[in-house]
Amino acid sequence: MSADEFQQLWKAYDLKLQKSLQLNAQLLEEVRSIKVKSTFNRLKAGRIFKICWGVVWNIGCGALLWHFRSEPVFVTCAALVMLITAIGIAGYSYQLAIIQRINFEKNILETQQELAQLEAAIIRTHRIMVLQTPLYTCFWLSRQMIEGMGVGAWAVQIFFTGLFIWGTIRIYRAFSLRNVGQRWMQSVMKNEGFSSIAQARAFLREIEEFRRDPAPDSI
Amino acid sequence: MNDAEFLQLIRDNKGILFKISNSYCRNRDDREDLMQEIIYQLWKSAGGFDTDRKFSTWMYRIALNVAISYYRQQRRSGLRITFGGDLHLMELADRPADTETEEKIELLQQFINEQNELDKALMILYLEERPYRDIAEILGITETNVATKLSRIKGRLKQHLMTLNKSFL
Repeated sequence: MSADEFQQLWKAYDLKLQKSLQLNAQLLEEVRSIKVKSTFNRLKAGRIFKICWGVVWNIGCGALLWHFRSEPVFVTCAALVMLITAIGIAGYSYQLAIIQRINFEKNILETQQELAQLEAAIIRTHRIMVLQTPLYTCFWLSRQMIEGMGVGAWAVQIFFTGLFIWGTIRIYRAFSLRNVGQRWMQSVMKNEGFSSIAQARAFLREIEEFRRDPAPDSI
Repeated sequence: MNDAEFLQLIRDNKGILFKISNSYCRNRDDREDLMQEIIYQLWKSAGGFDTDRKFSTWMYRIALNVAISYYRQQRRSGLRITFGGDLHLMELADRPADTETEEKIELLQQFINEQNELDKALMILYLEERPYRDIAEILGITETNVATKLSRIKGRLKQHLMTLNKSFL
C-alpha cells in the first residue's frame, strides 16, 4: 500500500462515519451544563486552598514559636516546619501560575510541555512537604521533659523519631526515582489527577525529542 | 458565534471527534468519557475562537491536546456523565459493511494505536490530509520536522503492513 492509499482508506473511513455517526445534540448541551467542574478548576481550587491553609498554618506556627521561644526543641521544629511550609506555598503558587497559563488552544507541544511541568512541580512540592513529618515526633519535648527523661524514654523517642526519619527519606527518594509501579505513589498522584513524575519527565524528554529538527542525514 | 452555530460546527465535524477519541481510547466507555471531555473543552474555549480562522484547525488543536492529556493521565477520576437509558453522545448506526475495507481500516487503526501520543496526533493529521503548514502549526514544530517524521512513520506503517501480510500467508 502506498501513502496515498492510506489517505484514501482514511477518507473511506471518514465517509462511513459521516453517514453512520449519530450525534445526540441534546446530550451535547447536557455535557456543557453538567460538566462545570473540570480537572483544572478542581486543581486550581485545591492549590488556592493549600496556599491559604499554608499561610494560616505559618501564622499559627509563628505565634506559637514566639510563645514558646524559650523551648529550643520546639523553636527548631517550628522554624523548620515554617520554612518547609513556606517552600510548599511557593511550590503551590508556581503550580497555580502554570495552571493559569495552560490553554488547550495553544499548539500541542507547548500545552503538553506545560502539563508535564505541572506534574513535575506537583511531585516536587509533595517531596518537600513530606520532609516535615519527623518534626512532629519531637516538637513537644520541653526543656523540663528532656532533663527528666530516663534511658527508656530516650530509647522510645529515638526509635520513633528515627523511624519517621527513615520513612521520610524513603518516601523522598521514592518520589525522585522511577517508582511508577508503586501503588502508594500512584494513589498520591491520582488524588492530584496525575500519574507520576517519571512519566512526566519522560514525556518532557519526548517533547524535546519531537520538537528537535532532525539532522539531514538521519532522514 | 452563537450556540446554534457552534453546535452546527460540532455536528459538521463529528467525524474528527470520533476518529480522535477512537485513536486514543479503544474502550467504549473511555471513548465516551474522552469525547465528553473534548466537547466540554470546545464549549469552554468557544469564546476565544477567531471566526476568521478555520474551525477544524482550532478543533484539532483542542481535541488532540485533550486526548493526549487524557491518554497520559490514564485518568478515570474525572466527572463522567452517564446519560439515562444507555444513551451515548455518539452512536454508530449499523450499515452494510464492505468487509475488505473494514479490515484494512482496522489494521490502520491498530497501527495508529501502537504509536506514542505525539506520533499518533501527527499520523491522524496526515491521514486527514492537513497541509504540512497546518500540521506544523497545530503541533508546534517546523514543516521540515513534520515532513521528516511523516516519512519515518509512513516507512514504519509499510513495514507493519508487510509483516502482517507475511504472517497471514
